[in-house]
Formats: sequence, C-alpha cells, structure tokens
Amino acid sequence: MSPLQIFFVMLMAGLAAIGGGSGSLAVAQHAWVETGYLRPELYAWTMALGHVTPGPLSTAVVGMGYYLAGLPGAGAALVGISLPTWAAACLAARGMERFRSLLEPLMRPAPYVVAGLAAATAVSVALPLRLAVHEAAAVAAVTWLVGWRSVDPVWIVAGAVCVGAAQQLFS
Amino acid sequence: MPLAHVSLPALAGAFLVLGSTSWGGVYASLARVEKELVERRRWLDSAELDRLIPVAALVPGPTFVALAGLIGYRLRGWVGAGLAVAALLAPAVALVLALAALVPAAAMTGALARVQRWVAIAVAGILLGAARRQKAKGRAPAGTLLTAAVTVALVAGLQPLLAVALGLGAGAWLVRREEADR
Repeated sequence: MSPLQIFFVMLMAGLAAIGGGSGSLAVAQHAWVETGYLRPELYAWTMALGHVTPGPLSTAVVGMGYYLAGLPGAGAALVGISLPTWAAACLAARGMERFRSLLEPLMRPAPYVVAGLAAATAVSVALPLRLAVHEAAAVAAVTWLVGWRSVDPVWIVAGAVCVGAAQQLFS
Repeated sequence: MPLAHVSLPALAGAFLVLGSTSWGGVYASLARVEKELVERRRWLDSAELDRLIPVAALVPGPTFVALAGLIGYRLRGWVGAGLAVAALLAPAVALVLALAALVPAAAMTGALARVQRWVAIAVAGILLGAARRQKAKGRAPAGTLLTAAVTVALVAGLQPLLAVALGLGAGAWLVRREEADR
C-alpha cells in the first residue's frame, strides 16, 4: 500500500469520526486488516501501543502506517488523521468567536454534558474487560482518588503499569 | 477573561507536556489540561475550557487533537492550532514509532497484555473521576439528571453529535428555567 493510499484512508476515517478517534481505528481495521494488507497481530500490537503510550489513542494508526509503508507510511497516516481535525477545529473556533453571544446560553450546561461523555467513555472502556471483583474495586479506588482527592492521573497510570508488569513477571 | 498573549514556543512546550503526560484520551486528561493551561499558565479560564470541550467532541477526528486545535487557534490562530496539534502528537508518535520499529510484535503482544489491562482499568477509574470533577463544577440541581441522561444515551448507542447537541439544548433550557424560578 502506498503512502498516498494510506493518507486517503486516514483522511476519510478522520472526516467520518465524530465524537472521537475510535471510529478512525475501526476504519483502519476494515481497510487494512480485513483486506489482508496488515496482519491482525500487528494491528493488535499497535492498538496496545496506542493504549500504553501517552497522548491521543489514535496515534496507533501511525504504527499501522509504519508497518504498511515504513516511515513515509507513518507520516501519511499521521497527516491524514490530523489534517481534517486541525482544519475543522480552526473553523469551529472561528465560529465560536463569531457567534459567541448566541452560543453562550447553550454552553452553560457544558460541564454536565462533558461529565456524561467521560462517564460513557468509562463504561465503553470497562465493559469489554469483564472486571473481576478486585479489578472493579480498583476502578472504584481510582475514581475516588481522581474525583475526590485530585490525584494526578500520571501516578495512577504509573501504578497500573507497575501492577501489570509485576503480574506478568510473577505469573 | 481576556486571552493571554502566548508565544509559539510556550504554546508548543505546553502541549508537549500534555502529550507526554496524558493517558486514556481527552476525558481522562481533562484534569491535566486544566492544571497546565488554566491553573499553571492561566492562558484561559475554567469556563472557557468547559465551553471548548463539547465543541471538540463535535469536530471530526480524535477529540483530544480537536481540543488542541481549538485552544491553539484561540491563542495564536491557524499557526497556533497546527503547532498545538503537532506538539500534542509528537511524544506519542515518537514512542509508537520507536516501539514499532525496535520491538518485535510477536514477542511483546502477550507480555504487554497484562500491562494494557491494568492501564485500561486505571483509565476507567480516571474517566469516572474526571466525570465527577466536571459534574461538580455546576450547581444546577438538574445537573446530575442531565449527566446521567447523556451517559445513558451514549452507552445505548446514540451518536455523540446528537447526544452532545441534545444535552446542551436540554441543559440550556433546564438552566434557564431554574434561573427563572429563582
């Protein structure tokens, strides 16, 4: 697959993914894994990398682009997924400035809507895991630490990596 | 609050920090974004950030990238938006590429599975904690109901675009009604 093809797949994926980048990852699976361009284990590996590295989860597509066409493929995937988002964000920001007085009343309930978005994302992350009792207790503990005690999530993730690594080492 | 004048290097630096220290996507990273841009650097206030987040959810593509673009544009126009997006993505891109190039997938996929699982568990808790912190920003009695409604709608499969639009619309009406009652 050529870098140009990778770019167009990611461009279309980015334009179609409203509400988050997970739609882009689904498009990548359909366009590259189901067609045989990318081996499923490489797709799974890059998804894992996207989850354990910081930043947006959708950077997993950069790894996929690398496996498809080396560094040019990685660059094409990166530009393809971020270009429409950059352009649309700029247009949205301009619109917000222009229509500020009209949008102001609509934005007052924003914290509640964002809380709903975050909670729904939590459910979508937790459900497929089929949590054991001790894992559900860990979720509750982290919720308290972040929601009530304002513990920096960086430390939470660092702790999670240590727990996972220890489990792997001693299993 | 009028927007601070922000230099391009400072803008890039802030988003490099965010891109290096934020896990689990945009909602799990809200506390970090607020700490870095609102509390530490005072480039925007909490209310402005709260207004940008639902808009970021409506922009096509990764929401975190959209939020970086929105904030970057607000501070330094088109160039600022591009720089913020690039700086946010740079650390993760470098790490993903390094690991993809240097580490054999077959050797690590199994080894990483437990780490990935515990990171996902942590992210679920971080997201719920972030939801609680967001909800606590408002004082409308109907706020909990609105949050629950948006959550249920999204989990049930409603398109995020519709859920956000309906949530903001219903919420604006509820808030206005409560202010009128008072």
